[in-house]
Amino acid sequence: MNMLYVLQKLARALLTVLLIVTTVFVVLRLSGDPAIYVLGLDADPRALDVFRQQWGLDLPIWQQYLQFLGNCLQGDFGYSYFEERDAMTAVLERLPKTLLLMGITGMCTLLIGVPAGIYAALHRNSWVDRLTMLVSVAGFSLPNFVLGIFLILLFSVTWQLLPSSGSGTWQHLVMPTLTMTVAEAAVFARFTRSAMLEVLNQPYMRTARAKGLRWHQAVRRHALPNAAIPLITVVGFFVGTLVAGGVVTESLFAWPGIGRLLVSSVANRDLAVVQIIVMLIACSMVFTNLVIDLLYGWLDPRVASLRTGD
Amino acid sequence: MNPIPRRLSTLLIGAMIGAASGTTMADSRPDISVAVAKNPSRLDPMAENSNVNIRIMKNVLETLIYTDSQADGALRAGLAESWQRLDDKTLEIRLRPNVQCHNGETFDAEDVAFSLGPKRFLGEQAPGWAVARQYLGGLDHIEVIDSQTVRIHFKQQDPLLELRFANWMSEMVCKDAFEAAGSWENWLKQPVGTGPYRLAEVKHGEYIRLEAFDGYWGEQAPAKSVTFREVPETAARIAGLKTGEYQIVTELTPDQFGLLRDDPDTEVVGRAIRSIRVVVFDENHPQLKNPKIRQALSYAIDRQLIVDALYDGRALVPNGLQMKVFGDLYIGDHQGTRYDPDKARQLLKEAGYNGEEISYRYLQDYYTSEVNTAQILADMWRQVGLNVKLELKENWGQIEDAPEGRGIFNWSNNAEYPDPLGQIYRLYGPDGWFQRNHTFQSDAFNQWGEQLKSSDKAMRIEAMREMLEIYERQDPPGTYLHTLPMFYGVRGDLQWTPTDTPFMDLSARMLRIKG
Repeated sequence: MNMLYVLQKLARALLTVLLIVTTVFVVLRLSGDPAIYVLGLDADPRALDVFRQQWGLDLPIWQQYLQFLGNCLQGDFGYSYFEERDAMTAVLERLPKTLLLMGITGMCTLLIGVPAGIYAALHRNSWVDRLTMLVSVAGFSLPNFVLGIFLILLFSVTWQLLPSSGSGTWQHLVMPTLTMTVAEAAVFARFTRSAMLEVLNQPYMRTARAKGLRWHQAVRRHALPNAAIPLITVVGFFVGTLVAGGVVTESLFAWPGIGRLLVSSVANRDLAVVQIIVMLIACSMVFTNLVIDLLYGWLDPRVASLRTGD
Repeated sequence: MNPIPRRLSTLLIGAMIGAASGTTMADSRPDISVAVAKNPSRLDPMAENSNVNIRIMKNVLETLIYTDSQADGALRAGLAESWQRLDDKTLEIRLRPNVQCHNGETFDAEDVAFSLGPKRFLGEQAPGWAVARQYLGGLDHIEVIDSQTVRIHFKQQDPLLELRFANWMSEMVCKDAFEAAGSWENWLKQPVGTGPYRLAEVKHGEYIRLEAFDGYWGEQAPAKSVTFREVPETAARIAGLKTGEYQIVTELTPDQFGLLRDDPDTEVVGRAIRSIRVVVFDENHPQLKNPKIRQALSYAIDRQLIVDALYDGRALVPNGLQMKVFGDLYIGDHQGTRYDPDKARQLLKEAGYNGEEISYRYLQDYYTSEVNTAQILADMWRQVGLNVKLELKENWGQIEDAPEGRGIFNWSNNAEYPDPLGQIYRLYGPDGWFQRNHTFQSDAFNQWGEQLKSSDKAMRIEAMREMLEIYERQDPPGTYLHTLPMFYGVRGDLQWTPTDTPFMDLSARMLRIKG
């Protein structure tokens, strides 16, 4: 893997982020006037004009865009005109909550989904396999929103075991995590199962057995590393689905993370805040995919040699 | 050592018990949690003109005059002990003595002058000017007579003088605290006033916590603290109310009443606020140029059916674009538009309408049951032969800033003062959105509106009568549907009466803890 390859990847990643940010800028600016959201529907037109001038919203959109890019390059990501404070502060204040929710959900997903998929594949067509797949389809098909409300009814209203919404204690984490984990783990279980089944049928598995390895040794040494390659691809998408799922789950459980901030900022056309969140999400997606690309090379030496032309 | 005399020891023990029980009494007030869909971002009302701001901040920042919503909007002493008009342009206010601000300073005439003065409001450069101008823009200057007396001078005669200091944007702040904040941005995070509650903690996106202010001039707040928690989903708010996590939840819609009705620990409270839900007609639309078509749209609406179907009968069909709280200016014998589909068909025939399409723009439940209402209306109009096309929009800008093809759209007409000048003329007059954006033009309406500014009551009543006729029949710029109610879910151990505005008054005037 040479430096040129990494630099190419980084340049492409930067271009992706720029494209996303530009699209969001144009779409949001053309589809709503923040002055109305802040000053109200009946606001005096002079007041609206003063507000637009104050925030540079009266300039042509291309000028606003160039100004925005210039400021970003200088590390100034703008001001939230809805909260009257630095937009980066507003986002960073919420970020830890989202990272906590995403982190725990990610961990639970991998801890449940992957072993379930492996177990199902190793016991193909058994009742455990069928049950795992049944639960997986159900979990994947159930929208977050419906599952979340169901959990609230069960754990909060009926059994009064957990708080229905908010944050602050570990109890508050249980239902949002469970809501997101169910769907994510279901996807992982299915992918892991099919990846494992594919590998288990490969000739090298028969070879491994023929050369005297026990079944569990063959699985550990040959099946699992090979099945990991397609799974790594799913991890890339996983970050995206976590963010999307987070928007719904955070709203439902009043979890004060960036998913909820994104929803309210889009609705209020609080451009600076939306831009930072979108950039964060785009960067995390791009970074994850970059890491995955590099991981491919590490996991599968054939990929690395193809890239470097060795 | 001399033993403490028995009587003295009894007194001491008694005093200790008294002090202890006093502490216990203060501590025994409950901490109340209110689940709301959204909290304000900016806390000074002069920085954010919104229902969600007023809901909370009027508990912290008080007005000079208090509007008693339990007595049809009667004006009561607030921070002002008394007031009198010196002439049509000048109001003299005598302040209540010994009023304390949350930071310990004494509230006096200087604070009133400061609250309305150039550092906060007066003048185009003032930070609060843009938002509050539409309410207090007529103000000329404030004259401090002595520490307890101020004279507020207006540029022109104004029939609403007293009302302006009992309603929107007239909340008073404390000068020293404002100056100590150092900047407008800092001030917005922690405004300081004189209300029964003081601002204790703000966490954006999570909660705003108020604490009872023990130095309050009036009856002590019944709750030790009130936390307004953001819970955007109604289902989660209702669940939290049922479990007792929240004592009050806001923004209930009638289809959710059933969930609380069977629960003995909760109840639904709510009433109409000073607002009327309307639909607006854009006269620039080729079909809506003709007043007969606009009248037909109005006659085709069965308003009572909408109220019964969507509001469980808990909203009212008003008698014209007016409210009873207007007092003498409420025209009781005005004839509102009845549901008359035959008349609508006849008017369409007279107008030569041939089924041309009319667009109806609406939002995804910005107003309560907005989508359902739009669909019902479109169907009622279809039944009389009108071809109305429903167009769901994402935000207000797509309705307001896009006049091309705009036909019918939604609005709510708040009576921001309990007077027609605070509703029909504020909105449909020359300074209102509709004339400014040319969806409605009427010289006759404007002439009567100017007469409405007179100080002569008979002339004002005559003007109001004529304006209602123009709105209702002669040249309708839109039509009303029903009063807008606000519903709350409340735990049974609270007795709380909502006001007729979005302000959630949690002072001892409106809130009592049972048991």
